[in-house]
Amino acid sequence: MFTIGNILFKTTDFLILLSVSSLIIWLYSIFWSTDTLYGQAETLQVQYYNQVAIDYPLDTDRIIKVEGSLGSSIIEIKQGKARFIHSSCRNQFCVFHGWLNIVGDSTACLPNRVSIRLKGTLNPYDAIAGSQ
Amino acid sequence: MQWYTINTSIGLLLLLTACQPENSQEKIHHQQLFSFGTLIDVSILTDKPQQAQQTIDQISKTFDQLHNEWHPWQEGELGQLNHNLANHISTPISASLHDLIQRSQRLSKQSKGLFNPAVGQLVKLWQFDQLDNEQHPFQLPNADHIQQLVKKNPQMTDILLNGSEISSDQSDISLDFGAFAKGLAIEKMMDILQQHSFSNAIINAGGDLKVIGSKQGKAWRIGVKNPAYTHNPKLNPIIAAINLYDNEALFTSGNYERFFELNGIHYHHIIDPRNGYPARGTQSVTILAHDAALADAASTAIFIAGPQLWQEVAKKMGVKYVMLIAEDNSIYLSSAMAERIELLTDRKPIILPKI
Amino acid sequence: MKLHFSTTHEDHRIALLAALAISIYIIESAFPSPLPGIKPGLANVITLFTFLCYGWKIALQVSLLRVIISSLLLGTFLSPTFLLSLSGSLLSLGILMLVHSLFYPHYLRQYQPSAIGYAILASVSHISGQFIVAWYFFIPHPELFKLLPILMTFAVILGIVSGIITQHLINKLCSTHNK
Repeated sequence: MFTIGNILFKTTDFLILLSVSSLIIWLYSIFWSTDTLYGQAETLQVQYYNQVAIDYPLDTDRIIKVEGSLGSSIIEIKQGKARFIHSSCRNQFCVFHGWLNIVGDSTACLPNRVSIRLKGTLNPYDAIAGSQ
Repeated sequence: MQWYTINTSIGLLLLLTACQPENSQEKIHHQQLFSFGTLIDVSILTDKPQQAQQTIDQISKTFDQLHNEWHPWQEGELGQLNHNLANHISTPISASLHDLIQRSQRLSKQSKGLFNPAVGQLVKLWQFDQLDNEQHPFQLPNADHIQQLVKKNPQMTDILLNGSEISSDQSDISLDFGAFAKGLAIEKMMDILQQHSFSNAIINAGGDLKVIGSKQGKAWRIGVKNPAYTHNPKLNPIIAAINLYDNEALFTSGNYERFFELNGIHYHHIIDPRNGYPARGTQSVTILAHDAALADAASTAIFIAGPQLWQEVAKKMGVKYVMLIAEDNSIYLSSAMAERIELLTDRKPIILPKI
Repeated sequence: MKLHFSTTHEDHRIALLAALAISIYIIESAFPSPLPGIKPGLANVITLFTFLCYGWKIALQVSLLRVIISSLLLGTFLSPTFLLSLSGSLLSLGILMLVHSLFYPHYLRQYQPSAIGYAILASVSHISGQFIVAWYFFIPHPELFKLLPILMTFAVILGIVSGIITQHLINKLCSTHNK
């Protein structure tokens, strides 16, 4: 408890200020962080057709080669993002798709039946609409 | 002051209980399927993952079966019907195909023929049936051939339903339900989920989706992809977010979905039945509606209608929630959509008055 | 015929305080706000002063009179502005009552916050009440939530300022307040 002039400040005032400030910081972190835009991606799920999917951590950069129905698909993990860099199909839609960087987003080389999907926490979206 | 203290404790108690999730056992059970010519994500909120997996297996089989039945150019039921239509043979059809044809006749009429599944021959001329064929050498269709087919003007009204028999006097009619089958299939999958008492789920078939129920009382939150992100990775990959409630579907038709390139020119799969060429002026159309089949057909029709005509077509088809991104990147929103959607871009949308 | 009202000392006090609050509110609303949705909210100083000096019953009456009469004078009665003002005032007074009652037991009384602590709470809950109503009834758009932390930041700053003013008023004018 102390006074400035004849204005009284009490410990409870500081506790109130502290809790209100932390509430505000929490609100900023929820409504203004980029994690709420893209989520925090942790692993890349790689799947061939209906076989069991394999998870790769995103914190190490690597190149993954998957044998699909037509040939191989090559996937790159770099700086926490992932993309197809080559696939044994003509249209290369999956390569055009570019980087996957939103948790829950996926793309696939349909003719080769290889799909990738970002998994993680704080996913901002339950599903991604608008075509691959 | 006594009643204060009592009220305070009741208030605090209510606050605490409000924070508890309804059922902490429930988790999202998720499975990816390759079916219907696309990648399908099924997410079910459940505390019974094994039953959920069994239901997903059944859904997977049903998707495969419908894909086969409704494929316009393979040996399934619709493929057979198309073959017979070309040869003027009357064909008996199943109840499910009958339903598909009848509903699309109605929607085609409402869309003033912009949604026209009867132009299968045009789709074939543009070789969009060959997009999955790795060896097919794409070439530009002959302009005269396109003209001839457009002049013949095959319409859904040329399909005659006599009981369960189908026939047509038009010889250049082929049915391609590419812009409709996915919506109807998703409706059927949702029925299967609900028959198995799963009441909170999302089925996302290559970016076209429907939700049922909620996420423990909260709306399902959906991100809408930015059609321009593919050409410019510096842009925000998500252009908008929207919360979906029980029994709502969100369908998008885009010029970036299925296409081939020839001499550097991009030919996409949404053919304007009025001139026989890929529709111009629109990048993508996103529709929110309860009925996934309606959303599917309307997104195609409104894509073709373009920035000038879309309001009229939306009104005729009975869809309220529309977002149209034009070729020049301007964003058009219906007033109902503007209230629901959160745009994640600096571009100011053009909001149209109530329809 | 002559109508005769008998008024108590308390009624005079309520009338005086309400008149003050209304005047401040109306003068404030004549100035354009530098940021939409952000106002100094000095009228709330009167509510807080009344609450701390004369108790919640008088504060509630002053606050309701302020909301209703100033909306009648400004022509916003029953409009969205009125509802926002009402919801903010009621929630903020509700929170003041709640916190006051929390520190009511005699062994906790020494930890009572000062006017500054109360003012911060009042100002933050005032904006929260308005925000909830705005979101629920007028703009049910999740994008609105991005504004919430910004509005709250200003609410805290303005709360401290109005707390200091209230404290001065109490020191000068309030004989019943136990310091």
